[in-house]
Amino acid sequence: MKTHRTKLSRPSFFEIHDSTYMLDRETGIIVQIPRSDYSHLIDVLNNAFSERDLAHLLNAKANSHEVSNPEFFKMLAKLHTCFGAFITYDVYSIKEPTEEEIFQLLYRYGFQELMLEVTTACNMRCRYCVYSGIYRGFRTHSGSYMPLNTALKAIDMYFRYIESGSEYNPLREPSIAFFGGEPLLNFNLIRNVVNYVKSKYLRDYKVQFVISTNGTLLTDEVIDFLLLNSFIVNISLDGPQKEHDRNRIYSNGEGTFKVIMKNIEKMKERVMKLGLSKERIDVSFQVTFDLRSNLVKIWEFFKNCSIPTRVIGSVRSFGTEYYSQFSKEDFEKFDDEANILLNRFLAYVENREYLNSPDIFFERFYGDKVRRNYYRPLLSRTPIYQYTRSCIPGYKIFVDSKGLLHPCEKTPTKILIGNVSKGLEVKLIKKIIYEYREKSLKTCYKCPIAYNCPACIAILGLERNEENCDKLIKSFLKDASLLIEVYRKNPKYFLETAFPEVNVNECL
Amino acid sequence: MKKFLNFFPWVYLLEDYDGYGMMYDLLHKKSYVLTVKEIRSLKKYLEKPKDISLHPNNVVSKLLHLDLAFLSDEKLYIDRIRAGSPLIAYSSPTIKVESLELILSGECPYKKICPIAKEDYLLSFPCQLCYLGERCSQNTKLDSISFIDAETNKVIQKIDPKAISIVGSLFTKEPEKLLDGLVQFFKYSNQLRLVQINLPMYSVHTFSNLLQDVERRHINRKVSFNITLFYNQEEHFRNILKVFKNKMVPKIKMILVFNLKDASEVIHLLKEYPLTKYQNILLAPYTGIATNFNQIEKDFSELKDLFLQWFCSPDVYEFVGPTYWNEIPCMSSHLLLDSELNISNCRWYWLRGIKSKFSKEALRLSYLNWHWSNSELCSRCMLKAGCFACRIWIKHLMSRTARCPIRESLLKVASIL
Repeated sequence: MKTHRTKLSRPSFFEIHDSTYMLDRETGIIVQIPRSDYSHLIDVLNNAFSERDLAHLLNAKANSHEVSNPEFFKMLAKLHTCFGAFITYDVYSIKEPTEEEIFQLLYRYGFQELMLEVTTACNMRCRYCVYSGIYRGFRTHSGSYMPLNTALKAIDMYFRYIESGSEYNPLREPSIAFFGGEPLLNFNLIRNVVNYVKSKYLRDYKVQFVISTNGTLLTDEVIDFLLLNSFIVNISLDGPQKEHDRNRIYSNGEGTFKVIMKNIEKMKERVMKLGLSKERIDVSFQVTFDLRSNLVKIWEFFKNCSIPTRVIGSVRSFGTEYYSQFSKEDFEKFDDEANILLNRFLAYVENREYLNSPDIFFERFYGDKVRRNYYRPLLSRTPIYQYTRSCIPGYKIFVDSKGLLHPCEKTPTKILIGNVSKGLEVKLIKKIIYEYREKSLKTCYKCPIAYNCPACIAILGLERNEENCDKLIKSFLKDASLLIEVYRKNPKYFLETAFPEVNVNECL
Repeated sequence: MKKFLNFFPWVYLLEDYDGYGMMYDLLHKKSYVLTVKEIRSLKKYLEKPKDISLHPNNVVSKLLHLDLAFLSDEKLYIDRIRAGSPLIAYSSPTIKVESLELILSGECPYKKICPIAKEDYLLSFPCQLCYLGERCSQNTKLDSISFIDAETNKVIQKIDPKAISIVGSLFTKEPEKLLDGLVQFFKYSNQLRLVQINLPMYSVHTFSNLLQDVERRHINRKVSFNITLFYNQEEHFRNILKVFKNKMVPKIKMILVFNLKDASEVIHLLKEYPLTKYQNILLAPYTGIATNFNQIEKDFSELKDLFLQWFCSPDVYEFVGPTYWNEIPCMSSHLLLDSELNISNCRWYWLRGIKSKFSKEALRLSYLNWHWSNSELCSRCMLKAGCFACRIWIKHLMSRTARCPIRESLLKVASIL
């Protein structure tokens, strides 16, 4: 990659509770600015026209009596001279990765999961479904079923890659996920695939099976099969009945809550009957909310639930008009509820309740986010792409019902990387990388979160625009605010929850 | 006026099982021990604003003086600076090998007089020496070129190390061939940045020519040398110093091997050579297996601050693994590959025949050895981020006493604050 220094880069500023923070683009570091010295910092930034100017001015402030916190400027000067803070490196050419380089990266980091879209059919019609026609670039509901032959070809292809890459990354364990539509509508295929994998590959690999289901088709036979094959079972459940049935409905508009809860009870009974130990059961809920959701009620529901939540996320906002249905009042009401829940979480952090009675909902909803943010990568760049943290297509492989390969389940349908007969096509992967990178180089080089941006091929596809980028920046700054609030309440939270076995105490 | 104390973002303070603390300055690669009392006092300052006394013995004054922290009129949030994220290893685990040791084989003319080849000593730095154990006496047809063949290169590509360390004796007879091989290495590997060549002491007569060739081929920035010296062969030591004095090779390290009981004489010898300021000399004492722990601790104290080089302060790129993932600094990200495509964790394992043919399973097992288990004392030690003492050596010493001579000596001699 060729770079040259072009100019100084002004940090972004944001406010939390009357304090101003700066986010430096190149290092990714967030620093709170002492109130009394904010104007001095602005003065330095306004008067520095070169790196030498900046270093000189910062050092001058560090030795000046007019500032209240001279050492603060000394720190900024060192961040500038030693870590490249306040500098923009303009990337003007990136070497095209060769076919060999792409495969070497995939052998080392890729093939984390094979996802099989066993059917596009679904017995439900959730209002926010990505396949409901309200998302640009995604397929709509249909009735296509993956033939067994296609599934087995995909399995063999996947294990070929795993085998070829096993000496590059011996820690990787194969993971096979069943996806839909509603995958249990094609239960026979799932059973055949699992039996095939067990007979052919289980001797050499510890394979993890995963299923994402709406939970309405869990019969005794299905439940036993999933439990006995140690599936990770993700069941979509959006909270108490009122919350869940608002969006997760059958095509006749009827809610699905009661059916799912009945099936959950059935599942508990089967666990008892089969005499399975707790360690062997991995069932959890996937929760989706929108601006009419009552987060406090959802939290209370899951807090009292014996099954943990695994993922909690809002309805996808990119490539859709879904959010245009909400009024200003909806936004305000949602914010009010969210604030109540946030304050409860902050109390949970401050009182260190997580040590004795961890709240799984809190940990998934807030904890994961603040830990990821606190320990976000600084001073590092992703391979191949200069900006954002997008993966290389092939990190996961999503096989649609027709046997076409896509980078993941969240990418628009048209983004292809091969098919089950030919396998991954490097030409297609290279094209995606090239197009994504070209757009990034044009749009990200001025962005304050260029190196920490969650944008990826799946989130923005290959279509970027200012509005979406703006959303991502706002979201980053909101997450940064949450991080700082948590830090203020209890700086030990990050280490104690992310690395409980680190064995040494980090004093902050 | 009350002031708040803030660490600079590149400064980390780890407190360990006994309440001692280690401050790591990842920018200047320096570290400082804090006593239990100092840690207690410091915590008070970190929690609430204080009228900070500027008495020079006050712990805060010392931190300010050492450029580790600063005072402000409000408590500031400042991200801790680090390279990468400690969370990433959990999301997509993979093996990253920083350094690969390639074992050539050959015959060593000094085998008969080698002070460490005959007896069963515990070597403190076997991985840094020219020593190949029984291999030193093997008369094999392998040379440097046949070793770096297509198959070996394929394995090296799979491992994809950032640095390669070569050890063996035959290649010094044919430096041209060795350098041809090196140039090929740099072409093959995606990210290979450095090759370290471990030379035996007797090669000193070829060393000048080797240096010239390295310079001629413009790879001097990518090549470094380790030279094994035995304390009792002072003449060679002097000759090598002469060579160093006149050559501009960026990285040369001398590994001075001696019996720990001779520690005081070694110190005396080193004082005669101030030009090196000890920077390029690694002290590598060995002990007999049955040596008494108290004796070892006593001998250590002879070395005083010189053995602090065993504790190598990490930088922003080296801090994450040992601190958050319990990686063992001397062992993690390090593999050994021999001419029969066996891999092993390090020279200690290899010398004892603990090696396996390169395979997925062999790699996975090596990876498991890179980490402390939670029950091990080292995983709870404040030195864990930078202690490069041979893991096997320390484990052996601690197996009898559950005490670490390095930590104990450090606490005695290095109350730096």
